[in-house]
Amino acid sequence: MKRRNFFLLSLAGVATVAIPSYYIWNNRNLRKNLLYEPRILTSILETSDIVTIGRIYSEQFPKIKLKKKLQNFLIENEDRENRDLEIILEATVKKDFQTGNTVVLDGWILSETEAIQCALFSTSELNQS
Amino acid sequence: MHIDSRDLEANTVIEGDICIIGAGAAGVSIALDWINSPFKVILLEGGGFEYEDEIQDSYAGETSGQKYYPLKSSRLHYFGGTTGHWAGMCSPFDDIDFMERDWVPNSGWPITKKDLDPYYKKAHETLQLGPYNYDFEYWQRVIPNLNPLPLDKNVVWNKMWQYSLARFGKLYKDTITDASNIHLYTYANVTEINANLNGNHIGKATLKNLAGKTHTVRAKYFIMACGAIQNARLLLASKSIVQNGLGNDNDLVGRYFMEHLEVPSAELWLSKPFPTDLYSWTFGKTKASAELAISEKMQQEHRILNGTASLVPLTIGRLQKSRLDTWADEDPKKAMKSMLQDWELAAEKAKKENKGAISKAYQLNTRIEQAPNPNSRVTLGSELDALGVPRANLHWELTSLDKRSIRKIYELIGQQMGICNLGRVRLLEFLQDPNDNSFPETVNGGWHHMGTTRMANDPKQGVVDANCKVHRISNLYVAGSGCYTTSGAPNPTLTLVALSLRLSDHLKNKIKD
Repeated sequence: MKRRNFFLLSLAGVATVAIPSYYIWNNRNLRKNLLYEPRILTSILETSDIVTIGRIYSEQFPKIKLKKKLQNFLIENEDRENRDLEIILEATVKKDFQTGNTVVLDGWILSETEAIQCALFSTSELNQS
Repeated sequence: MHIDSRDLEANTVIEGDICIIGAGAAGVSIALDWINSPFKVILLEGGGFEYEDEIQDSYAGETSGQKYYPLKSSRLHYFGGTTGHWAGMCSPFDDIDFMERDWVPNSGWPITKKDLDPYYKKAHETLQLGPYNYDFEYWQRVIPNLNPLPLDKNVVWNKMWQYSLARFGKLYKDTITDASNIHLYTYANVTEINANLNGNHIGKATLKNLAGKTHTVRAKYFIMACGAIQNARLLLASKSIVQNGLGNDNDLVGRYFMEHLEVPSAELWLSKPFPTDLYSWTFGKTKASAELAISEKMQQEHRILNGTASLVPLTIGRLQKSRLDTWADEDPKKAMKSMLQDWELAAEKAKKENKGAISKAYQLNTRIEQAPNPNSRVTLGSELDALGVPRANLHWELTSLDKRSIRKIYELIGQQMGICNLGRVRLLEFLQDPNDNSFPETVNGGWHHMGTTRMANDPKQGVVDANCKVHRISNLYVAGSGCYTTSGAPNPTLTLVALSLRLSDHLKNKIKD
């Protein structure tokens, strides 16, 4: 086999494995970002502020109750497509504000959905990295 | 016609039909309204045409309770009064401000907004404002780029303001002094209003000046227009006949002192820039702008006071000191200079920090009525001023309703910002604990003195009646913001000029009879 052909075949092999892997990894991270990061807050706050808000929210509940709250949120949204998820989360946040399902954390007037997202973020590896 | 009372022979008796005590916004507005009438109007001003510290000194007094500005520098004591340095912010009260609200103790005027509307229109001429039109839609057609935040009008609406540049001292000096039937006496401080033996009619007022001369004014009608603190002081000090002071049969004179609470309260962080000129104001340039106001429905539903929020770029707002710290001098000119220097410094420093998320953020500043509170009051001190009149002391006291209302205003704005998803609102620290009813020392007033001679039909509820006549005294009237039953959210000058013009009309009808 000529060196050139060997190189091209190897490259194709690597791409066959790497591209889908990257896609899956990226998709999972994007999904995680959508779930764990309250979208509008990430545009106005530092990461450390979101962590603080998440911790303050978490401290309001006993550990078991908090765990259940966060799990329920994740389960509810588990099977949704990313695009749907983004729209659904935005609508849920809006509905929270409309119905007064809001919390005040570190002075911020937030929807409870956003507060849960902050709590997830404060415990996630996204925050550790 | 102008007469310096220091040049008169001692013990001169001055006579006229109407005697207006005080030549500030209220007094001058009434005097202007009587020009070319067949009646002789005596207009008394304690100072001259310019600032003099020894004249200003009679406004000095002690304060207690919620921290307040030095009384001496919180008003101006010369012809034109505090219009000599006011910001000119004008907006009428809302309908609800005049109503009895079961969640606001001691609310409810004996007049309605409709009663004042024709006088608001007239006051616009006196204050040289634009048309008496405060509809947002009107101004949006007149001025470009008044782009409103997309909030639900049933919750938060755009309350419009207009801006007056009228400094009455300069603007109306010639008009007043040229008027043949208006007799302006400067350096004419009323030290006592003298009632008859029954205490139900005023025969004369005693004038003094620092030249050591005493004079007397006799008139058919007397109108007190010295400002809410000084009017209360003069009534309380006029006790030759009635021991508790004039109009004070029910211990109401001086009580219910109200201010507008003007305080940075929250931050609005936007996720993207929102270009608009609707919420900004530049002195001398802006014709009209808006503040975010809470609808009547929401006030009723949440049982809160009426208030608004103005927007200041956060980079600047965060760097400005509390006005109570910068306006600390007894001399109003020095106090003003110190405050303006602080604002300039903040604006300059802010330029360097105007990047990133904060460049799209605003400080939300409250402007809210104060709940009428009988314990918030003006009393007489033991110290006398140079003319022998006891000084005014002020005890400023706020209530839990004031605090709860401010917090709720920002919760409502915060909800609205969440619904439209343009940004988020953050309460400042003093509002974060819903169970904390206290106020920090940094809560500013707007230098607006109101309520000390409040209006009510029942003499047990107020000092003056619906026509601003002191209850039980046939010919003594009060002009100005002291007559306010409740204080509304807007700065008081437009409404006090309107109310004074209404009083003027009432007296014109009465004097004909």
